[in-house]
Amino acid sequence: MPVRPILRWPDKRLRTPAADVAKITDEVRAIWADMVATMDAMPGVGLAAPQIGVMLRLSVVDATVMRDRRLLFANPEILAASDELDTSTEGSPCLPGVTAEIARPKTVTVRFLNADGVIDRRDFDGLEARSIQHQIDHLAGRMYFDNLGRVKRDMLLRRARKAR
Amino acid sequence: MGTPDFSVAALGALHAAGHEIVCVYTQPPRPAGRGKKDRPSPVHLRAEAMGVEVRHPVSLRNAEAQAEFAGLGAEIAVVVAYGLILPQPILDAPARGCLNIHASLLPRWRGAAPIHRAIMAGDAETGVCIMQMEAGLDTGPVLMRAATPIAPTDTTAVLHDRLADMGARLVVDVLGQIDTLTPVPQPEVGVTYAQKIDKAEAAIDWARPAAEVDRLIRGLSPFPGAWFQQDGVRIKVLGSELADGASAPGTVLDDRLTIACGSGAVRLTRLQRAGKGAQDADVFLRGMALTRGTVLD
Repeated sequence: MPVRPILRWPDKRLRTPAADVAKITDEVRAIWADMVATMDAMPGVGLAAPQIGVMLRLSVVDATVMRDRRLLFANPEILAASDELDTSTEGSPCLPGVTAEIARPKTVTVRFLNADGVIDRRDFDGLEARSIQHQIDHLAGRMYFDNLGRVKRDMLLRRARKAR
Repeated sequence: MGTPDFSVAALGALHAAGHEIVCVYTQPPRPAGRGKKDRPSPVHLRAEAMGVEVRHPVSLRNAEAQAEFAGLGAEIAVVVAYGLILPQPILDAPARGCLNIHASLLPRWRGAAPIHRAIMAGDAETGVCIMQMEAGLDTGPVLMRAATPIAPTDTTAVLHDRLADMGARLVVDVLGQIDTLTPVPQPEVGVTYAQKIDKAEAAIDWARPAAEVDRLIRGLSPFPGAWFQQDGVRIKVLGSELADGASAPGTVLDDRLTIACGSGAVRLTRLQRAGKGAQDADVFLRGMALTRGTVLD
């Protein structure tokens, strides 16, 4: 379960939609294991496969303090989202040194292929809901700051350049 | 094919989604309610209201009943808490086999009482699975599943309704994309069996830890109902929550039905005296004083 290097924005792969996996194979399980190790080393509450250069729609989330609730997703998609929004700070190891306040639905229903290879659906709220939405952005070739308006987004990228 | 309220949601959803329901199988009318007259099952009533043919054979083991089923020429059968064992010729009759809605995250809680058992075991979450039926007890490969957290206040009644609704939606999804789905064999690890609830399990033992007493009460609510006996009257407890306090097990700690357990305490929130209706704690206390210091059996 090696920790993999994380791509830095604006690597083209972070701006490219990833591909669905057809089924859960040993290869997919191995990628998930690397992703969990990488997430734990960051440390962060989630990771999407394109962040380590794997262009598959895979992600991992663990938003618990004890880091004991690993959620593994393949092909996640949002089926339903609450009207109620929640604003909180997000950042990414792909663009260190900056963060932004992002408004997202408070709860989401996510459909995904689970570790057993079964199509699963589940409701998430709180930090888990935020993290999975952030990961789904990555899988679509988007960064969290693409949810900001143009001015705020440009400011954030300028600050990131200075921080480097 | 289904019988109790749990199955009605699926029947309604399949109908609303525009699937052609050629026939509904349900258990025969059984004596129930006051007067113990034969009553049709909830599924029976709903199917009749929808104008769908209803059959209620006592068994599907004989060749005649199997031939009648095969004669429907059904493309697929959806089986939800039907209550009859399906022999292989029945499972094989529909062109695309038989789908089952099961109220747990398989392979956990295969068997008869998955909702009760999930609450009684203190599971953090449960859900529904749509599986392709085979001869074994809930062993078939799974096509789709959905999970939901079990809240600390959830009773079997509440969770039952939520899971029935989730299952109904999920089976409609499955039928809509059946050609693209691959049934996935259940994992071999994590198998547990949800034994039928034995009436003897329903007697509350105040010497158990509070968390366990609370889960027993919520898991058996409303049926069969966890109970204790006071002054010769059997009292069912239909709702509870964890509370602060400690004393000898069974001691009533305050005027709000907080009862000491082996460790910790529970507050009883909804109760039912034998022969009476269910009541919230405050109403119950007006009719039957359980004062501070009383020790329950």
